[in-house]
Amino acid sequence: MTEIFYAVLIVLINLVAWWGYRKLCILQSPVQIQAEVEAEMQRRAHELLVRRDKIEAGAVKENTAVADEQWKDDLAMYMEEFEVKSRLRARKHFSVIE
Amino acid sequence: MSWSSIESVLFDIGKLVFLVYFMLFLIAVFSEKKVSSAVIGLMVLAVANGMMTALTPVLYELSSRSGIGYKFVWYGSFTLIDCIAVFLLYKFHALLRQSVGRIASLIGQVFLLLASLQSIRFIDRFVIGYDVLQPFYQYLVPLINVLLIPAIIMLWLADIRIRRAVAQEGA
Repeated sequence: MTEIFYAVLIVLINLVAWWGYRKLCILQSPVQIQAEVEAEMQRRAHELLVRRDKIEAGAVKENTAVADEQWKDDLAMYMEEFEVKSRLRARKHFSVIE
Repeated sequence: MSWSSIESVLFDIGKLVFLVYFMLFLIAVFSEKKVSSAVIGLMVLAVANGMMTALTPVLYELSSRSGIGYKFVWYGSFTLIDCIAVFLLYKFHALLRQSVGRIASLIGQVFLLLASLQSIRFIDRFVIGYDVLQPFYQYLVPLINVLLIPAIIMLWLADIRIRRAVAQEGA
């Protein structure tokens, strides 16, 4: 019985390694990385919109001013990052080698 | 428990292989102008292999005791290190926003193959009890580690050639 337990354990570790390798394979194409960055930025934009909506609808009862300030900070950070990423995209577009 | 001569030779080869991996990593760090997939791959390879080499004597001592738990420590530890190495490859590429090159991909495949070999060998020896894979395991693992060196060098040289060709075309 103990043997089976250890066999299952080692096979499980192996399966986790396979899963990690599958994730690694996804990163093989530069287009995929670009798509992941885009998806992440989109997710953050969506989250910011939801938070704004909540603040305006009065769903945030306590510390409304703090929440508003925090939202503005996060938006500024998002916009800054978005600009950096657009600059990087533009540079990549014009360069011969990445 | 003392090591037999063949095990000592294999351990010495293991140490030598680690030194070569580390040298390759250093060359990559100094020759590549920025972070690249090859640097990440060689770093993970050097770290994981160094860890395995350092742990080998301790694991050998533990696994020579009786009890399947002790035997598992040997095979399970190597499988776990291989697994962690694959994840480190993925994580560093994702964090540094690098696409996976041919060298890193090959290193990932080798870690996966080694993890599978450890698992199959453990099951063959202690669960099924056939013990038919002993020579394969004993020689295949060091052989894969040694053969990885010329494979990496060949891929690296091919990559450099491609990059030069592209740069010349662009100039």
